[in-house]
Amino acid sequence: MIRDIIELFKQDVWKNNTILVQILGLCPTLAVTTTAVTALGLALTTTMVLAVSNVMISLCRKIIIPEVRIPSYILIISTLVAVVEILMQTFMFTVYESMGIFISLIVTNCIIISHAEAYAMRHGPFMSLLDALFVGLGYTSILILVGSVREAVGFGTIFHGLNKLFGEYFADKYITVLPGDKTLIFAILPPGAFIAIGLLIALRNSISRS
Amino acid sequence: MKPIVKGSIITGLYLGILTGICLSVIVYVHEKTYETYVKTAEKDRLSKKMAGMLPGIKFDNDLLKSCRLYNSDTLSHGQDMEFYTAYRKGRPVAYIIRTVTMKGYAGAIELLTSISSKGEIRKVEILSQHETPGLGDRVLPANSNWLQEFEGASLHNRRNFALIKDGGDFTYTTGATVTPRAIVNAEKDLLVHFMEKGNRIISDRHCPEDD
Repeated sequence: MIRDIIELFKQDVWKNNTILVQILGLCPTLAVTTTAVTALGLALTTTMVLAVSNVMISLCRKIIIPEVRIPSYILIISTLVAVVEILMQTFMFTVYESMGIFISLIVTNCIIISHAEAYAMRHGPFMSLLDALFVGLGYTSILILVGSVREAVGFGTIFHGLNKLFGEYFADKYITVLPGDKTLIFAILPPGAFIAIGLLIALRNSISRS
Repeated sequence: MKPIVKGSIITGLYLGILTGICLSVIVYVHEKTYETYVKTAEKDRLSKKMAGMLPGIKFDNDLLKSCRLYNSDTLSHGQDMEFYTAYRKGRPVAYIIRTVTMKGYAGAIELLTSISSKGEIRKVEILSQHETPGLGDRVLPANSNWLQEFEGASLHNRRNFALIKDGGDFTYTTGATVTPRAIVNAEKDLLVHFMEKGNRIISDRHCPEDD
């Protein structure tokens, strides 16, 4: 059991990292990593949706008719995202505002549907929950990394606007790495996202090969 | 009945029931939250923002009670929108107008603008927007001081009333011009409209009373 969990952790976080190895869910990844904080916000929301959807699909796996399992996943996942969006609009308006349209786009994130199909349909709710959390951990750390690099090069700061996620105490808890006139806006634009992720994939490949 | 037909009917029923359950969950959550929280939160944000809209202007009426509706194709896209007047000794000294522009990157941007009776912008606030995080939303007060560029602006003291790129004075972030341009143009439309109509912009239609 414990060995299974450790193996699952290794698989989800490093060996089969959804972004660096499986290259899944790139659209939201490229789009929201303009700053570290928006990246963190979307990664946490995605992890939450993934966790709930994995558990729900794992619980329902005996009653889902195999021929129509994909439409069933889509129904369940889109319901979850709709509910999360309404709840965020209600209780965390600043976060909701700062993530714009990307919350509803979580539905299209293939990480969630692929883990419903490949994991939750075949395992119990507890292991499915762990799978979701580990995948979320791998996903969140890569997103923060890409977001920090792009924000540092493009705006000269890291974690600017953390107060939008965690309250006013964090309003000025950001790191300035470059003066405002030495920044390169290229990093914020879509090509910058591809280059940052490409470099990270190359780095991961060279580490795992050595 | 052939087994394949029976199978399809069962599958169809199953998907129908699942859709029904999912929809009722969404409707339930929406019902439970929207009326109670979202609407009151919206009202709170509006009245909080209203309070800071008129820096340095003395007035003696209750702004929220001066609410009137107006309807314009350019300023409110044919919707009824709110319009507040600040009076001092019975004479209007400033106006707060809610407008909407569709020229942003992703859907409507709702703005709240205060104008002095001389046609000078005092303050601009963004009520709602869905611009790209990190790019378009750089104009938000949480991310930059950009909206302050409007303070004191009028059609006379700003060249062309446009972004630097379009031959004006307003700054922008390279790569994210759509949002600032939409806002600058919306403010320009508002000022043009205001200078044409002056005080006649005030209509008789009261805002619906809150229950």
